Parts: sequence; structure tokens; C-alpha cells
Amino acid sequence: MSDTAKPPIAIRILRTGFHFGPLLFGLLFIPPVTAQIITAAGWTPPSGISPLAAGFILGGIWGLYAQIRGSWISWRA
Amino acid sequence: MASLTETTPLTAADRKRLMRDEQAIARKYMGGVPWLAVFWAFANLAIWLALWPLVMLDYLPLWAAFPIATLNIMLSYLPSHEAQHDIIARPGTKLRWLNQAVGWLSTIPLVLPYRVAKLTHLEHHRHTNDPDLDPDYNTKADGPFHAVVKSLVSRQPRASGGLNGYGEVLMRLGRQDVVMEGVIFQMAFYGLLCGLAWAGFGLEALLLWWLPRHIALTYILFFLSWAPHHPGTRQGRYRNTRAWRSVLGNIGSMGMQYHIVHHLHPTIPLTRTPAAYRELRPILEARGCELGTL
Repeated sequence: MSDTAKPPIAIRILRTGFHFGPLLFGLLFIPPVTAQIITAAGWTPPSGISPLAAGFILGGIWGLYAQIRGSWISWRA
Repeated sequence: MASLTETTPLTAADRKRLMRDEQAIARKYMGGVPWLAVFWAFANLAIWLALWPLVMLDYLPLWAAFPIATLNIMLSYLPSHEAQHDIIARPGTKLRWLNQAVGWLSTIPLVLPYRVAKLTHLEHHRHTNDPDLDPDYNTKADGPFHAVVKSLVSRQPRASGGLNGYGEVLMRLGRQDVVMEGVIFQMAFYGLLCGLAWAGFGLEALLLWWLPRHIALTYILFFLSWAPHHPGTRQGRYRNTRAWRSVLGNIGSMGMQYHIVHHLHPTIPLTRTPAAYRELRPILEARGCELGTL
């Protein structure tokens, strides 16, 4: 096997998953949790959007920010 | 700071005598099974696991379960720490399975696999305060507030060092297999969080696991990693850690006031380190250790 041989497909999928971890967390965890917080608090999202859509907007933007910056809470990792 | 102003250098004979006395005292506190740590490990895990059905079936409100879960996860590390040092049972002994069971199970809520914790922790003991080799060197900070900020920053996606740096440490040790354990734990953790969230239990996932884990990691890194090694600039058996007095007391700081005893004699069980410290204190003073006001 040469030094430049590609790692197994499972490893490449794992690496890709971890690389896009912040975006995935922003799209897979934050939206339903946000929707449940909005519903439990009795809030109504603006412009008639659903609680889940509001969650996707929040999670998408925050996840993208964390993906690009490398940090959820600061401007740099 | 009188203990740091070592004016009379120790002779070789002094050092030999001190070492002999130190070993004799330390041996008195070693051995036996620390059953409290075993009970602690399983009871703590059982309580944390029980919170899930209790909350999901509305027997316990989430607001009440959140602080309990946080406390559970804060308490989840130390039993594993005893196992990492083979304190519960040495390899080859009858109760070795119990040592390994405690090590593997107790840190599940913390999402920290036993072998990841053990290998990196033993590396910390070998290279305490070495900027290049100590896996926990990243917790070095100027003061308490800085320590908390660094702890939070070190857990960000592209931060280096700290928990994020454990993978590199394991690769350096040639333990890719253990890196995979860490990856599998992380995947299972985030997979479960997302699964719970889409099943309608997002708040439970958030307040019984995700947020308590971050609070617990901050607490654990502060009291187990930053405080006992502060200022983290000195290396050597009698210099790389210290005794110190915590405003939260010994229980509130998880026994870490006596962390110097643990570094000198890692197989002394946690609950015996205060008594061992009191007996060892004159020797530690003679060695020029930093003992603060403890």
C-alpha cells in the first residue's frame, strides 16, 4: 500500500461527518430543541413561521457560523 | 510560602531518608478495595439513568432533574479515575473485573471512554506541566476566570489541545484503536441527542445530558486539572502540583486540595489522601513543596 492510499470508506465518512459536525449539530439537534423550547414557552415566531422553521433558521445560521469560524461562542477557535 | 523558601539544600542522605519515610507513610494508605468509589460509580450512574424514564413519564419535572443530572455527571469522573490507577483492583487479581467495570461504566454520562481517559491521564502523570507532552497542559491559565474561559474555548470545534487534543496524544502513543473508541462514543452521543430531539425529547436531551455535561466538564477541568497544577510552570516530582485550600472545601473541590499526594502516590485511594497528606506534610515541607495554607 502506498503512502497516498485512500483510507477505507468508513473512515472517510467518519472524517467528513466530524468535519461538518457543527453544521450537522446546527441542523439536526438545534431545530427540534428550539421548536420544543418555543412551544413550551408559548411563544409565536414572527412572520407566521413554524417553531421548527424558526429552529432551522437559528440552527442553520449558528451552525454555519461555527462551521466557518471553528467556534460556537467566539470569533475564533 | 515558607515551604518554597528552601534555604538549606538537602544532602543525598537527607533525600534518601525522606524518601524512605515518605514511602513508609504512603504504603500505610494503599491497598484494599475502596468500596465507596465502587458504590459511588454504580449509584451515580443508576441515578442518572433513572432520571430519563422519570422525566419522560412525568414522575419528575425536568427543572428538578437538571441539577441532579449535572451533579451526576460532575461526579462521574472520579470513580473512573480510581480505576485508571488500578486502585480498585490490580491486574491479575480476583476483582479486576470490578475495576474495569467501574472504569468503563462511570464515565458514560461524560462521554469519555475508559481507555481514552486512562491513557491520556497516565501520560499527564508522566509529563505533568510539560508544554509538549502533558495532555492537560492546555488548562494552564492565569486565574480562575481565565481557566473557565479557556475550558469553554478548548471545547470548540476547531480548538486545539484540551479534550480536542486527546486524539493527537493517542496517535502519538500509537493507539489508533483507542482513538476509534473516542470517535464511536462521540457519534453515539450526538446520534442519541439528535434521535431524542426528533422523537420529541429535545429538552430532555438538552437538560439531562448536553448542558449538564458541559457544566460538568468545566467543573472537572477547573478542579482536577487547573487548580491543583496552577501555575503549571514547574516540573518535577515535588514541584509539578500543589496542596491548596479551596473556597468550596475538600468535598466541593472533589478532594483535589490534596492532589499533591495523588501525584506522589497515585495508588492511594482518593478518600485516604487527606489523612496521608497530614502525615506526609513535614516531609513535603522539607522537600520544598508548595502547600499553601493547607
